[in-house]
Amino acid sequence: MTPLWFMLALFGISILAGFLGSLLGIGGGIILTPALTLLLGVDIRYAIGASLVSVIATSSGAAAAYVRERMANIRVAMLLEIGTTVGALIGASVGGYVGKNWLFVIFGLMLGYSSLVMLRKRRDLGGVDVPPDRLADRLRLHDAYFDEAAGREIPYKVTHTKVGVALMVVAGAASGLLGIGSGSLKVPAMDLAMRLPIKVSTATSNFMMGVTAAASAGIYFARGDINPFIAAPVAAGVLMGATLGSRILGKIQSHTVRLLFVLVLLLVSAQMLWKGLRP
Amino acid sequence: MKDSPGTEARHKRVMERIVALTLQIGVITSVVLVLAGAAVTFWHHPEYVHGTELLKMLTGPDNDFPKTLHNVFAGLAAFRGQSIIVLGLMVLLATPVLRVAISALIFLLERDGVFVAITLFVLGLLVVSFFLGRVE
Repeated sequence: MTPLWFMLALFGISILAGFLGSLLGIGGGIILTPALTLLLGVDIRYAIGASLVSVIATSSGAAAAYVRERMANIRVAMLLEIGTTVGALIGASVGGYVGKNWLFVIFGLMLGYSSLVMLRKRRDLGGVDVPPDRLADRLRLHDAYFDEAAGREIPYKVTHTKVGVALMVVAGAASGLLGIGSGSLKVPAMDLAMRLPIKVSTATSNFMMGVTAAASAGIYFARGDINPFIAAPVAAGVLMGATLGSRILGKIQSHTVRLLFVLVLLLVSAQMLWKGLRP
Repeated sequence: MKDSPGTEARHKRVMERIVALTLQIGVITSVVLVLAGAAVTFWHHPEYVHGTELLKMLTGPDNDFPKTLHNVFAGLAAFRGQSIIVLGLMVLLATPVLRVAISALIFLLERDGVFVAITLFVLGLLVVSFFLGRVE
């Protein structure tokens, strides 16, 4: 393969990764890492560096639209960000001391279970009919967004704020420990515990993940893991895909978003179980 | 004096506009730099278009791309394509941090003390984790 073809192929794959990532609030590493290592023969070290670039590009490319259309809830994002960053620091500091295999199994099972629960919730749109939460009232977390597919403004209330923050600590620690995109953990937490509408969950997760990833970007850059020849098509492609995806999220039905997310979550769960259980 | 709910909603819209605009400026700047850098790379190295043996070097440890700020600026002075790409990537990696900083400023203007504290805390943790990583 010539360097030019490599760049063009990677650009195409990255558009897809950015598109899916922006719709579902995940980083796109789930597509990029296997594509880079298995298909294009790139060393895993550079593949991980490229995935980090992809997370930030997905987040920044889509966030502008999500903020403008009020799909992402900035107040919820900032609050939960406390949990993910604290969790990431914990994860990074205990990283050397814990056995990763059983962690992979535990999280694999947890995600598998969440995906089934999320699937059962597929008729539920989220809304104002949730258990009252005084902390959410005081922090004024409740909001509304305009759902193009439903053709109306959808007001919603946030609940179980404390549980949400606690789950974000777990999500942050897991992504620090296991190197998985934390979107697959954040979205179920927002969906199942805090009862946000699914589109708000994925858009808010999308908004948050760039911030978390930026914390470790300096390390990767200094270590030389971000190869510009690989990262350039990833950055440009993912930004394009994410911009496209962010325009579409409003237009597709909530249950379609949910179904897509559940499918990807099952895949991630299977991947983690395989990592933990393989000999 | 307490703001009426209407004023609060309007504040919120303005805030969302500013955050969205910051992101868009960052993203567009970085895309332009990355694409320009890629174009310059191919312009300096026409062999990348046809040669097949160079790909391993470019995507492997032998690719001598800038890894420190100093290298980036030296490369920019020499008009090296990969340095322009790295500059674009650095702009991209900085956008989320900038997003948090601007949010802190806006919460401050809205005199929302709790959220100023929350946002500054997140920003502080970002800086800490950035430097923790450097020490490793």
